[in-house]
Amino acid sequence: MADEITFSSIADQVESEILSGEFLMLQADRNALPAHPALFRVPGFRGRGSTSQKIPQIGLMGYDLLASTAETGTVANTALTDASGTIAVARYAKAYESSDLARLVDAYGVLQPGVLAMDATVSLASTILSLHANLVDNFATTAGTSGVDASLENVLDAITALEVSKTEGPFLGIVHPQQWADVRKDAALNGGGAIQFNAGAQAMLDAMKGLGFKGSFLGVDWFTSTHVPTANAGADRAGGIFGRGAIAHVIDEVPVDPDLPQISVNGQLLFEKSRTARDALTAYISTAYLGASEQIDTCGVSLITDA
Amino acid sequence: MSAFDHAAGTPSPTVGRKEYSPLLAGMGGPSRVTKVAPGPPFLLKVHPSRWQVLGGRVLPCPGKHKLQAGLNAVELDRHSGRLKAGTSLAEAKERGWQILPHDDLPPGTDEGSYLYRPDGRGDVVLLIWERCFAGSATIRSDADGWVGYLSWLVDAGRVEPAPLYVLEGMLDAAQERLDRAQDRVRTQPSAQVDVDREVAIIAVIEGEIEQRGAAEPVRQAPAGLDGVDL
Repeated sequence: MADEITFSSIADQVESEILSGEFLMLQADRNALPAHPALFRVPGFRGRGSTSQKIPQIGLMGYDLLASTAETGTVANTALTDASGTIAVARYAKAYESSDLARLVDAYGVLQPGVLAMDATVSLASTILSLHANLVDNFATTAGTSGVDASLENVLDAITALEVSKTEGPFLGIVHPQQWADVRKDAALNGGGAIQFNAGAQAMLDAMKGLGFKGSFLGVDWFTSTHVPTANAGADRAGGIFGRGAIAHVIDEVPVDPDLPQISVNGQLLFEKSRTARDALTAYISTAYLGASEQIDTCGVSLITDA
Repeated sequence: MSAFDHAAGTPSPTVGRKEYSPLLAGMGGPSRVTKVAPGPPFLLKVHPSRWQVLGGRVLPCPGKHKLQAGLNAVELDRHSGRLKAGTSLAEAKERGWQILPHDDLPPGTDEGSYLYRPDGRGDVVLLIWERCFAGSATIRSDADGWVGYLSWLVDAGRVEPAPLYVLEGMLDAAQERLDRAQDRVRTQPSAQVDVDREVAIIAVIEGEIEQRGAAEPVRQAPAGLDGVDL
């Protein structure tokens, strides 16, 4: 027999590889913090003459008690307690630049402005999350033991410390997924008594897995992020639980210029096109002005446990 | 007559050869760059309230003061473009933190700073006691080196020892954990590990308190009792 048609004999009719028509997203921590009462967003910097703001902390609304005073005695003045924390804003940006030819043959439309604008929105949210995650490791109060898995006991200790320090709820927990997994394991394997019959514990075990918002458990709203830093030279992770007042953040953007190819995304991010015609290049640039800083230290507890 | 000659006398020359290494397209060899997650540069800092038991000692539990514009009031200098952290560090000090200079290391340390950047990763800053690996996101800790550094901080007087009230608080917390672990071990034999750990932690803290001596808490006569009719 001869002239059988084989794959190698029709070389002019086949390709070594073709595009699949579908694509996968690479793994990333692409989550946005929820609009939570523990998050404190301060007004922007536009037209205020500085890149740095002082946020006053004022001891009113029950901070000082009425003093027992004699019937006709002169009441002494009460000192008004105050303090402050500073927050500074800085430029956060990224740009994707592609050639005309790359955009021409772009099979998935990933170089189109709409897709890049969506990417910019998700990246902004992830950046804000990253800023918060990089602050929760630095509270002076800590719970947990270095080199030991996070446990329900650690979480309860942290909540107790916040309540003792008069922090108002609801609390938000930002922890590394490894820490969350260790607490979940403790709830599944060792939880007894009240925890065993707690609906939150059941929901925690059954919840959809992955990063991001995990739901409420033990009165804390939980969020996991891989941006949570290491501690003790990489042996541990240092997440944290905090209430309103622990961390302030700011999100700002420069005003959109109607003469330029730029738009505002949610009033938080400037998304614009930059064309270099001589080089046949088009860039899409995302810019936001962000800041986050610790304010009242005792409104948070760092949870330092095994990595 | 050579060995290659056939009986008929016709020479049969051998084919020349040269070394061959398979060169496969797109196979550039394993990556020499680590895949550790990026993070901002930082300085270590210690706080009088943050202590831990590590390596059989009571040692500081340092935090990382991140040096990134927009974080904790760090800014970019408008002239030089370098990071400006004066306000940020001053606020940290106001809150009780002590910043540890990056180049103040125990004698005999080969490195000039406790920070380093892995080759090819300008976006990663690690401690010299954190080991990273080519092609991997794993970080392994040099626990002995880290404990050695923290011990040196206390022994060399760089950091004040843990205050007595902090030690007593740590002791109370460890005792509570031990009590609960002892309860658990009755139904879970594996919890014996927790019991042993807490017993060891308590021994370390008690040793530290004993070494320090029974320092009296600061006392002063309560003010405003002049008018109390006893």
